[in-house]
Amino acid sequence: MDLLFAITLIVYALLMLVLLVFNVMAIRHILRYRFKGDVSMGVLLGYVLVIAVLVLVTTFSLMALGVSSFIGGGV
Amino acid sequence: MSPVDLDAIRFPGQQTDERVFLFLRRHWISFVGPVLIVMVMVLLPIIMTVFLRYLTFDMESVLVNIFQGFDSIDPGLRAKQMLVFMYSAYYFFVASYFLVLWLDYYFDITIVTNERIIDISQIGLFNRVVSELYLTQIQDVSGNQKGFLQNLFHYGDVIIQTAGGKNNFVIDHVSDSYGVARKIVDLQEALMERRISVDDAVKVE
Repeated sequence: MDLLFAITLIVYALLMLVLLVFNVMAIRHILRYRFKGDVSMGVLLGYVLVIAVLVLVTTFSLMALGVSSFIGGGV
Repeated sequence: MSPVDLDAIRFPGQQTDERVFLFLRRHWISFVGPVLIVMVMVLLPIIMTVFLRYLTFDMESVLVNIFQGFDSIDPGLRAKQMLVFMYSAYYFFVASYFLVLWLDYYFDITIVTNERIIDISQIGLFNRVVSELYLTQIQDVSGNQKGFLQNLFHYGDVIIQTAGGKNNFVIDHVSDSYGVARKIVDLQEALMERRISVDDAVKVE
């Protein structure tokens, strides 16, 4: 593992921690304060789908960075 | 004015004989500004890439140089992987920011019942202020529409003057502010009439 990957990993961990707190708060807020018949559940579903794709892309790109930092570019 | 089913609305502290007559959110035009900000944020990396290419500055080659400086194996591939990581992390942040802005807009609610007005102000993600005003405390209600946009899209503020030394109660940027003001006055009059007839009935007994 090289230094740059270690820095990226730390940045990623911090980003995920902050976003996790924000997202948990936001989702809890919607579930708690929504009114029957409003669009909040639809927006929440759309948001969760977008976030799921972004989490996958971010995690896989980080994994690819990690693999190439150990064994080189032939992956 | 009220897209949700008013009879289905329940809120904490609602009395059994309390009916919801208005369920107000800020006009959708209030959310156009935040949407534009998010759209700029979404397009920013693309605009920056095109702009930097125009200036013959390539982000990928900068990353390749950084990886070469760290003696990385295959800096070209790692620069590409790092770019994908940076973009996805950035869009993750943008998506979360959009959700917070949407919450701020969508959960700013005013409920008008046959007894009182409940104003729920969502400020960011962590601040929520709930204030209420009984219709009997109202002295004057006025609706206004100021400026080009408010007149074009038919929205404005409703200003409610209260009895005593309390501050004015303001419902911001609601659709059909004149209609809302009229409805509040009607509800107040209906409440007063109800109370007078109850008092008369008590006197007769």
